[in-house]
Amino acid sequence: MITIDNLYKTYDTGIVKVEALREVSLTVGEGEFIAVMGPSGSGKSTLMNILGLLDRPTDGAYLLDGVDTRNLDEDQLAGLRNQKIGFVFQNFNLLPRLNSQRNVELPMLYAGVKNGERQARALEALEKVGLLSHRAHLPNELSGGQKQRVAIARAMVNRPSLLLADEPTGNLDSRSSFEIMALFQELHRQGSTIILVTHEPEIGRHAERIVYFRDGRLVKSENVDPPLDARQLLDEWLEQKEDSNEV
Amino acid sequence: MKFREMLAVALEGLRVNKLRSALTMLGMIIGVMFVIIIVTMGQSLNKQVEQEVEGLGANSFTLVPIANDNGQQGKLTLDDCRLLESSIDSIEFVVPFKYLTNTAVFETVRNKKNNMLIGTSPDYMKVSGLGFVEGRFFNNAENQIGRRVIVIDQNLAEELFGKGNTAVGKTLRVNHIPFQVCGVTKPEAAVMGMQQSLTCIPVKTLMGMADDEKVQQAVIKVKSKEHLESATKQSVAILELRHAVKEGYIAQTNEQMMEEFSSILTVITSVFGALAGVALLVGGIGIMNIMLVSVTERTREIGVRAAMGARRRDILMQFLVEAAVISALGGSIGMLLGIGIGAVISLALNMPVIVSFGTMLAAFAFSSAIGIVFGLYPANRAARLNPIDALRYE
Repeated sequence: MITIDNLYKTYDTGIVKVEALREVSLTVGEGEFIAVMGPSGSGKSTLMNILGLLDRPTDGAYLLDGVDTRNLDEDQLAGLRNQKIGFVFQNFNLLPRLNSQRNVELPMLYAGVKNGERQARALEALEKVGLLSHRAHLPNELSGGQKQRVAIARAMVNRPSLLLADEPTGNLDSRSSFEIMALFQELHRQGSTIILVTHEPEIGRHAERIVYFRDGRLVKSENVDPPLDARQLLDEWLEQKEDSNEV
Repeated sequence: MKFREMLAVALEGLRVNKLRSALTMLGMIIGVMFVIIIVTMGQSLNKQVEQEVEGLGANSFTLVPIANDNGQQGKLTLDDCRLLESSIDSIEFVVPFKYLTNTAVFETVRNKKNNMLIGTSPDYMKVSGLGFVEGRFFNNAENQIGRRVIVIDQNLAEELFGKGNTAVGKTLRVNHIPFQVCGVTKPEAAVMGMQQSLTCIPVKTLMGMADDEKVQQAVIKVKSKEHLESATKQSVAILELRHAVKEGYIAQTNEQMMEEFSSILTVITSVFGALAGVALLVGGIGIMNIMLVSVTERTREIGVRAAMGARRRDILMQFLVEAAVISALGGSIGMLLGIGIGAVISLALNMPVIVSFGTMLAAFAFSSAIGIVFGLYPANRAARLNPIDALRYE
């Protein structure tokens, strides 16, 4: 599914060279759910940008679905982003002037999907994240959790091979965070490959595997057995809340 | 991405910033409006003069005595007119025109008006195509003996005798001399509203009043088109010989007069059009300015679109189409306003109303082109943004 081999990313400012990634090798199998953890400046975001084909490595290979991405031009990369990658951002990045449905339609717009099918698929995706009723809402009329669910619907609507989530719960309250993680786990059960960047250990433990970064190097990879169940945690959390309210 | 979708995205962009889009459009509206008004007025004026010159009749030319380079003045008299008529076979008739240097005072008990006074012959009817409301033009006999009869137009008749009243047979005073009205003509369209009412009296009569023999110009009708050139040359040659003056006459056919007028008008229209074009340029700069602001404001959006798979040309086209829509829409509105205002002015000046499809098309195409030209730089800037930086932009 994903193979990166001996990846380097160096930022040359002219005065100093910053090695954001060094000797990173990682294989992600189809259907895996991986969390990437590490302190800020450890290279997580750089890795995500490269995995998301928004940035190119200085050295090393990145194969996505067997396609070597090194020699692709800008348009080909845009095509791959469109078809194979779904992005979920910490700050949602919904277009503020478009309603939920139009936001979800966006990737299909660039994929050349016809209007009728585009609408049908957008509504289907919104239904999956439980926001069909909010299809005509503008982003500023949605809560943080709802925004992120629209963003996930948007990320999934072109049926990408890989879902990249960069601190998706970073701006959310506990309840919304559980809901979003439950959604990711649901997608994972349905076969999606997910790579999640987080600095919250508890969020990371919802994945099957955690890889740790430090100073641009992948320092540790450990399996989580068993991963936390977000749905169960959400229910427990709701119960607790009710109890505390009663007291 | 298909064009229809790009258009939809662009329109969405404009809808969000309605006021800003409208203000940006205003530059284009004003620019195109002025260009259209000027072009329309030019065409209208041209048409007007064309109609007037045509009114002088086909197969005719106008002879005007002038001063040559040595200061010698060409002369033209009634006798000259008669001579040309009798000595050149191809000439059908010669219509003399004599004017008073100043306007004359037209007077009835009811009203008093200043207007120009023309002395001519009944042949004028054959080249002018005048229509009559009542009465008739004066005849040859009246012209020969210099009777005090006058043909006035309806506008003047209404002012002097009152609306709805018969003027024919009544008397009015021209510079205190009584004249009998023999006919009332339909009013002619005026050039730029400057032409006054048409008032004709027998040329002989006017000679008596002015106390000189001079005729300011003559319209000469020839039997057929082939004779036009030779008759022109012969007439000038005869007159130059008779009055012993070289290059003392201008003889122009209607077409030549029209061409000359058209070329002058074209220059004037071009100069004013170019000045109005500066307004278009300013409009274009306004579009560029606002598009640059828009690109900066929407940097994050550009990043998001890039992450979703928008190629550089998709981003480029989005902003380019937006700029083109602003300018084309502004251009269209300006065009409609220009045509409307041009038509109102034409009507007010009694000139023909001209709506040229070619001008409309050119205005639309040109304003769209301005949008594209001035939108190119901002759009290109948007397309060249690095997606990562764009996504991080706050």
